[in-house]
Order: sequence, then structure tokens, then C-alpha cells
Amino acid sequence: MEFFYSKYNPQIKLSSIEMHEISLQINEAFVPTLPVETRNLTDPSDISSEEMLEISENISVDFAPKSANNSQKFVLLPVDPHHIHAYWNLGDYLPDDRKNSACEDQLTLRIYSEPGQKALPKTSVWIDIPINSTRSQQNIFLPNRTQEISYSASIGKRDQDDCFTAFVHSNSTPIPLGKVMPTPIEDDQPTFKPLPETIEVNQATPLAWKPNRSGQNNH
Amino acid sequence: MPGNQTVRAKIIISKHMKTGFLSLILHAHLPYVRHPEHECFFEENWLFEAITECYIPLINVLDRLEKDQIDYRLTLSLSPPLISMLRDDLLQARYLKYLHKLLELAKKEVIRTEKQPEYQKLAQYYLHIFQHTLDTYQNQYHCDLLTAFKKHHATGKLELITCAATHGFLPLLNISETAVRNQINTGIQTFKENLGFLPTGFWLPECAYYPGVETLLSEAGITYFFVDNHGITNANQAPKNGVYAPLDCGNGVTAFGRDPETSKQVWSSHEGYPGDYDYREYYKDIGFDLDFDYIKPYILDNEIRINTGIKYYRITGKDLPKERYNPENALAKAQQHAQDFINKRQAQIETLNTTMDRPPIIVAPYDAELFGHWWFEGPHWLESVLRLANAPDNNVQTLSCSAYLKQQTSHQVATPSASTWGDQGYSSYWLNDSNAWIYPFLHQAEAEMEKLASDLKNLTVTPLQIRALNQAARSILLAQASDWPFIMKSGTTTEYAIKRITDHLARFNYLHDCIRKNRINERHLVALEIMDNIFPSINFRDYNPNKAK
Repeated sequence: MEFFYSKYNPQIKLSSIEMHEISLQINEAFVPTLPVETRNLTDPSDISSEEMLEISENISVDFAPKSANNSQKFVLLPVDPHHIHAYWNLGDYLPDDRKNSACEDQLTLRIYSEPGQKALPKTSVWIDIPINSTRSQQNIFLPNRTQEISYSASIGKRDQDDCFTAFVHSNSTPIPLGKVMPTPIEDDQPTFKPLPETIEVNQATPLAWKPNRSGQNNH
Repeated sequence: MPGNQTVRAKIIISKHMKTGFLSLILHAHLPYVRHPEHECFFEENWLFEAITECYIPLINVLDRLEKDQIDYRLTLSLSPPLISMLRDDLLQARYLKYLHKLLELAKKEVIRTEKQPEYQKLAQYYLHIFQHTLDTYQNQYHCDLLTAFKKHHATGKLELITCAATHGFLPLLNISETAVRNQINTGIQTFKENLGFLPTGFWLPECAYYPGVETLLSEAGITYFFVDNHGITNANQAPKNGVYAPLDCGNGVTAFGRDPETSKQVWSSHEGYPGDYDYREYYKDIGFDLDFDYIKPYILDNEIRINTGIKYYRITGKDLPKERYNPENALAKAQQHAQDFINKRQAQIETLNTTMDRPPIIVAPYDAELFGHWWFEGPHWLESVLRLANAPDNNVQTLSCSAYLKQQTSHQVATPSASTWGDQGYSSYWLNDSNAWIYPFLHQAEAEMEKLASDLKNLTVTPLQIRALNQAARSILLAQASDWPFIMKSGTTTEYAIKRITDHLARFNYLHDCIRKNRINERHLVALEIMDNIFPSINFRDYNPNKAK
């Protein structure tokens, strides 16, 4: 019978039969448990339409998008030559001394007419807009201009000396020159519909689905 | 006159008369609507109506033009969701069921109108149309309409192009370049997988252009795209040839501008051809007019009256009682309007030739679904236009934009202005009080997907994890469809649009949670893979923002 030994301790010698027995004991006691994912492979043809609908509806309820979870802090979007759209969710981006402040209505949204302008040179042009919510959306009217300009913005606080401290900065977005096309007049429809000033997104409200007739409650 | 003789005649004519080009583009798109979790689903009818009223009539037009050897040129943009739905087995089977039901109704109408000969003629007219539709769909093209379009593309007369993956409104997704890149590249990949070649042209959804998108189009191999006319006229350099020659965006990708005159003649509800009093009235359908018990089996849930596609009246006139539709008169009117259209193009080209330094190209893009659905006689008008343009006695030649670029190899360099062909010319239709709420969620989901892809860079993932990650990417793309904010603004099927976008965002959130916690329920994943089965070759790693660098 041949015996084998390890180079780390030549004193211990084992036969092939002994090594086989030891191997079986280890397998029996320490075999890894396969994760569920590799054990229960599902054949797509096993899933009925009813089950798919139930899975879909459960996911829609349990994982509906909630605005409170939105970590996108401050974004500008182009609307047309005269308007830019801003949405913000300051949440964790407010300094500690501002989070529970009763003076949230003194926040300022400052729009810069040059891209990426985080520092404020004295010659830069900006517009200040008071805002009263740490999470909201708003269309902003832009002044007339003679060239295409990019805009960026900051939200912060203006103190009594008119110094502005920014808490958060937006992306930069170019706004084209040009004129808004008139909407074709149909019957008594107004040519222009006024843009809203503020769009409130409900806090932590899952966007519920209202059942309707369009094929969704077929039996 | 056989086609090649016509071409020779036109060459002779062109030696004496300066020609110009007319580029007709049809953009065919529907949102991805497919609900295997329901036995039937009303919104799937959007596809079925479009197949019956738009796509098969268009194919019949192309078949007739080919049979008569007419040397036409037409460009057709097929959106990836439409490509996917046309190829889908479930939807093909459901369409056949829909069509058989329509045939059944048409046969009943022939019987019902037995004592009204003029209406019975119309009922027989519809029965014949639906029978021919079934024959084209099932017998001629074996339920796969993409083979029809491929066949005509192979003749060199129909150019096929595509658009973004789920028709996403790119300027409002552009806070992430990766989001825009994936919309473009996934769209092109879907086109290639189904049509077998790469497109050279690209239809920006809603013609929504922003300076810089041409870089991503160039990376994807695209050589031209379309903008609305003010995108050209407001370019950073004044266009020397107005909208009648394309602009090179500076990187070799060219922008063609929509001609406002051809647009108004077809699109305008007041001045355009489709409003003519002889044309079929869209809003008078037997689904709303006939006795409830009779029509019940053919309406929604046997309860809610809907359009059936069988309509017996013509537009007649504002505030006048609707008169019976006369197909012969209507098609004769379509022929007249086609001649008028060509005459106006001739006059336009003659005028333009006096000032331009090259032959003008008049770019006339339209939604494909206008022809046949909203404007019943539209396909007949289109066929007449293409036949008339082929005649030797005019200076109008139909041409695709890619063929124009082969003829005219240098162009004025300028950057178009950000613009869309939507209401008011910019983004407001997709960003207003009815739909602005979606963007924080879309941008958030995109950012999370990119972080997932970035975190997993160079890491091995299991096959199950790959499936979940790819399904998460599908959910993102489906949520980004511009159809949802469009519908919310137009107020048509608002609840459905809201449900769709929130469902897709919820599915993304669910998959993101499962992946991050490494707790993937395969049965749930399979359900999502079945329900949202678009883009089979999607690769989540394309969402790594550093991958492109």
C-alpha cells in the first residue's frame, strides 16, 4: 500500500483509502447550500396570466416610485426659449443648522446665465427667485436675450448683507433663442395656455393606480 | 409607361428644366403595448387598428407601385417598439383574432343593410377591405409585416430608418448622456436584429433635437436626421438655402429641416387636405351609432362603445348633418389633392431654383398613422403623389435623404437650434403641469442603473443576476417612452399612461432592490421577462457611464 504525506508535515502519512474517507466526511458535513436562485429554475410556460398579473400588481404597489426617495438634488430642464424648469429635493443637502429651521421660506434659487458658474464673479448676471419648499418643481420665466445662453442655478440662503451661500448646484442647460410657436386655435381654445408657477410633488405618496375599464379587469 | 423608360424621360427633361427633390418620410411608431397578463387588453387595439388601417394599406400601395414598375422613393421610419410588436407571436395571434371579429361584424353589416342598398354597398366595401387585409397579412406575408418592408427596401425604392429605443424624448433625458446613448444604440440594435442591416438615417423622437446629440448619432453610424424648420432657420449660422438643403452639424452628420408648406397642406385641420368634405368622417362610427345589443359583442367589455373602423359618413361640412360616404368621390378627391400637391411642389421648386446654389430638397415628414387611420384616403393620396412624381412632365423627383447626400457631398456647416415638431416648437408638451412629475423619477432610476452598472464593472455576475440587471435596463427604457407624458398632456388615456410609467418604475425599483440585496426571486423575474420581453440583446453594462470613455 502506498502512503502519501504533505510537504508541510512529512510525519503524517495517509493511504489513498484514508484520504478518500476523510474527503467523504468533509463533503457530508460541509457541502455548500446552493442559493434559491440556482435551485428553482422556472419554466416560463409554468406561469399563468393570472400569476403574472398578481406579481405585476404586487410589485406596482410595494415598489411604486416615491418622491421622498428621490436623491436627485437639483436639476434644470429646458422648456422653451422663455422658460426653464427646475426641480429640487434638498433633503440631506441642507446644512445641519438649516434642516429644522423655521425660515425655510427664505431660501433663494439663483439662476446664472453662464454655464457652471458656482463661484460668483461680480460681473456675472443672475436672477434670484424666492422659494418656500425644500422639495418642489417650478417653471421659471427667462428674460429676453440676444444670444443662446446656458443656464445653471444654485439654491441657498441670502443673508441680511445680501451675501449668498449656496447649498446645492444644478446642472447646466442651454436654452435656445427663438420664439414659441403659437398653438393652432381650435374653436375657442386660447392660443397660449399659462404655465404654472409651482408644481408640488406629494411627499412620500406612492402613485396609486386607479383601475379603469381599458381591458384591465377582464375576467 | 414602364419604370426605366420613365427614368430616361426624366433625365432628358432634367437637361432642360432644373429639377428639385421631394423627400417623403413616414414615421411609424406606437407605444409598446403588450399585456400577456390579460386575456385581452383594449390598448392593444392601437396596434391592430394601425395594422388594418395604416400599415397594410401602405404595403398594398408599395406592392402596386412595384407591380407597375413605378420609380418612386419613400423613407419609412420604423420605431423599435413597433418593430418588436409586429414580430411578436402573441400580438400576431391576437391581431388575427381581432381581424376575424372585424370580418364577422362586416358580414353582419352586409345582412343588416340589405334593405338599404347604398349602405349595403358600403358594408360590402368594408368586407372586401377586411378580406383583402386578412389575405395580405396571413397568406401573403405570413403574419410578419416586416418582411414586406424588407422586400421593398431591397428594391432600393423604400429606405428604412429607425428611431430611439422607446421613443424617448431625448432633450429631457439628457441630464445623463448614457441615457441618451442607450436610447439611440438600443434602437439601432433592435432595427439591425430585425431588418438585417444598419440604418443610415435616424428619426429623433418628436424631432426633438438638442445641440450635441449629433455626436452620439455619429458614434452610432448615423449620417442624417430630421428637425423641424425652425431648428434650421434658427441655427447658429443663418442657413443659406433655408430648409431646402441640409446642414452639416460639424461632424459630418447632417440635419434635414421639415418644409412648412408641405406640412401645412397635410397636417392642418383647417387648411389641410384631410379636412375635405368628401373624405370619410372619423368621428361617426357604427360602434357609437348602432343599437347597443347589436354592437355589444364588438365593443369594449361588451359595455363601452368604441370605434370599430366601420364608418358610413363623410365630413360633409361644419355644423351640417353628415351625409353618406361615397368612396369613388373620395378617392377622386384624393387624386385631385395629389395633383395639387405635385403642382405646388413644382412651383416651389421653380422658385427655389432661382436662388439656391444646388437643387432644393423638400423634406415632407409625416406620422405614418395619419395615412389610413385619421385620414382614411391618405394611402390613396400618397400612392397618387408617388405615381404623379414619377411622370416625365414635371420637375419633381422623389428622393431619399441618403441618396441626396450621395449627390450633394458638401453642405453648409452650422448647428441647428434646439427644437421639436411638437406644439409650440419646443419641449413644453412633454414638460408641463400634467407630466413634469415624472422626470425626477426617471432621472433617479437612470442614476441608480448607472451606479449598478458602474459598481459591477470588472465583477463577475451570475447568469441570474445578469438577467435581473438586463430586465432592470428594459424597465428603464420602457419608463422613458415619450408616449406617456404625451398622453398625459393630451388627456386621452391618461390613467393608462400613468399606470404604465409607474409600473415600469416600480419594476425597476423592485429589480434594483433584489439585485442590491442579492435576493432575486426567479419566478418573479420570469414574469417580468415575459411581460416586458422587448430588447432581447440588451446589455446592462452599457449603463456604465465610464464604458464609452
